[in-house]
Formats: sequence, structure tokens, C-alpha cells
Amino acid sequence: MRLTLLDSGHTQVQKVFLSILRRAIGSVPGPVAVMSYRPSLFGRAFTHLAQRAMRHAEYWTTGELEAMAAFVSKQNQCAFCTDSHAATAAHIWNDRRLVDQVLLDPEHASVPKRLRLILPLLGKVTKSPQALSQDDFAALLDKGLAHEAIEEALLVTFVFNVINRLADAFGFPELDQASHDRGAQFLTRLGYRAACIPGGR
Amino acid sequence: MNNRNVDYLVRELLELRFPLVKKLLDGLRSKLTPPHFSLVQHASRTIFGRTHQLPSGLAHLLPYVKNVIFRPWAVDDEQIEGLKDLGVSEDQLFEITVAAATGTAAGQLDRALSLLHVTVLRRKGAP
Repeated sequence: MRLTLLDSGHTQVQKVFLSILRRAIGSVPGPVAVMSYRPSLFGRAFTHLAQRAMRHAEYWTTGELEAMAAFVSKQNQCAFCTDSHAATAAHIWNDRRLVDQVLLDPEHASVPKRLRLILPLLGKVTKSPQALSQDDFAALLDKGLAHEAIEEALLVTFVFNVINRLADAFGFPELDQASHDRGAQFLTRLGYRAACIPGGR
Repeated sequence: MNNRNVDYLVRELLELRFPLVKKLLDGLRSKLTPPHFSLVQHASRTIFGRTHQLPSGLAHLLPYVKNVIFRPWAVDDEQIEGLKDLGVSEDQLFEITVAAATGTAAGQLDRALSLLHVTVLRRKGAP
């Protein structure tokens, strides 16, 4: 990490939790270090929001939401988050090939049509928001997507347009595939709020 | 539907549909110094190419903030160390980065949400 306070600036209580985590999965994942540092400023509210976006959507399955997260991260060229959420989507779907299809050729991926429809919009929001128009949304509504479904997908996009920037700017340490796979199991089991370790200021 | 109505509508919708985004932004507003919070607004406008003046004391941060907004993958150790050499503390860098990242994403969300809801309202017959 480029900021030493993200490695060693947590409270004593948090350091106990972090050492347990380090023993369990080999390292402290970057998102956990960031969300747990000064959580009253950012991490507590952000992980609450991320949990809502990624685990309590009404129109999308958890696997679809994780695929969106990986896709948005890829648009932002954030390797850490792309790998992490691709691993999580693959864990949930039990199909890595399908996730790779979503990332490489989303419009022809063997996923539900609604996911194929929404991904280009999420890419545009992420990479060229100034080019968005009402036509982009009208086309999706015409094809049967509920506006609430679009809102839920936009919330996922918000979450990852924040965390991708933090990952790259702070220099989240790269993980090997096995570590991403272990992280995917934790994320699936514990959700996003677990990234904010208790006991912080 | 004029722009003022749209802006009002979107703020209302943002609060209703995304109360947790509002809570995040309100938290940043209450915890950050005004100059650092101004980076949230700066980023949300800059992502669309609109100008927003920063307090003069933050001018030295602009190249870094621009990277966080447009090219976060281009931030490197040298840039961070350069800012530290100028006297920017790690805690300040944490705040600046969080503010710029959140502001960028909030600007994108605001734009998308406004277009979505104007489209929906027009379909329901709104002028």
C-alpha cells in the first residue's frame, strides 16, 4: 500500500482482528485495510451502501451483481477489483467460463438477456458519462427492463467507480488467483460490511 | 421540464432512491474540512469537463486529483512520494483520495439518474 497508515494505522482492537484475518487468508485485503481506516469518515457508510447494493437488490441475483462489479472494474482497468469480483461471480455461478464471457464479450455471453442489456449502459456511465442520453435509457425500458432494475445497477456502478479509484490510487497489493478464490468465499459468506473491521475510530 | 425542475427532481430522487449515497456524502461533508470536501464537488463536475475552482491552497494537488478522477491506474509511488515531500500528510492524502473518488462516482450517478427519471416521467406524459 502506498500509504503506510493503511498498513499500520488501525486501532489496537482492529489490529487484533486484522492479525486473525492475516493468519486465515495470508494477507489483509486492500479493501479491508481502507474500509477499516477512519471508518467514521468513509468505510462504515460505504460498506453499508455496498452491502445494500450487492446483497439486497430485488431485481438482480447476487451472481449478476458480482458480474456487474467485475465488468465495471474492467472498464476502469482496475485489475485487483476485476479479478476479485470475477472470482466471486465465478464462485457463485460455479462457472468461470461464463464470467470470462461477460468480461470479454458481454453482448454475446450466455447470461440472462437483462444482464447483457444492462452492461453496455454501465460501461458508458463509467467510461463516457458525458455521452449518456435519454435514448440510452429509453432503449432499455423499451426492451422490458424496469426502471428500478436500472437504478439498482447504477448503484453497483457507483460503488465500483469509487472503490476502483481507491484500489489504484492506494495501490492495493496484487493477489494470486488462489487468494482471490479464498476472498470470494469470504465475500460470499460474510458480505461487504465485514470489510469494515469493528473497533475503528 | 426545465433544468431547475430536473435538478430539484434528481435531488429529491437521490435522497429517496439512494439514501445511503446521501448518507455517505453527508458524512464526508461533516467530517472533512471545507477545502477537502470541495474536492467532492470538483470531481463531480470535472468528470464532465465542467470547471470548478479549488481553494488556492490545493493547487498543488490538482495533478493527483486529476489522475484519481480520470486515470487512477496512472497514480504511482513517485506521485504519492512527491506530495509527501511537499508536506501533504498521509491522512490528508487519504481524505483527498476518498473525496475525489466519491465525487467522481457521484457525478456519474447523478447524470445517469437524472436521465433515467426524465425518460420515465416523459413516458408517463410529463411535459
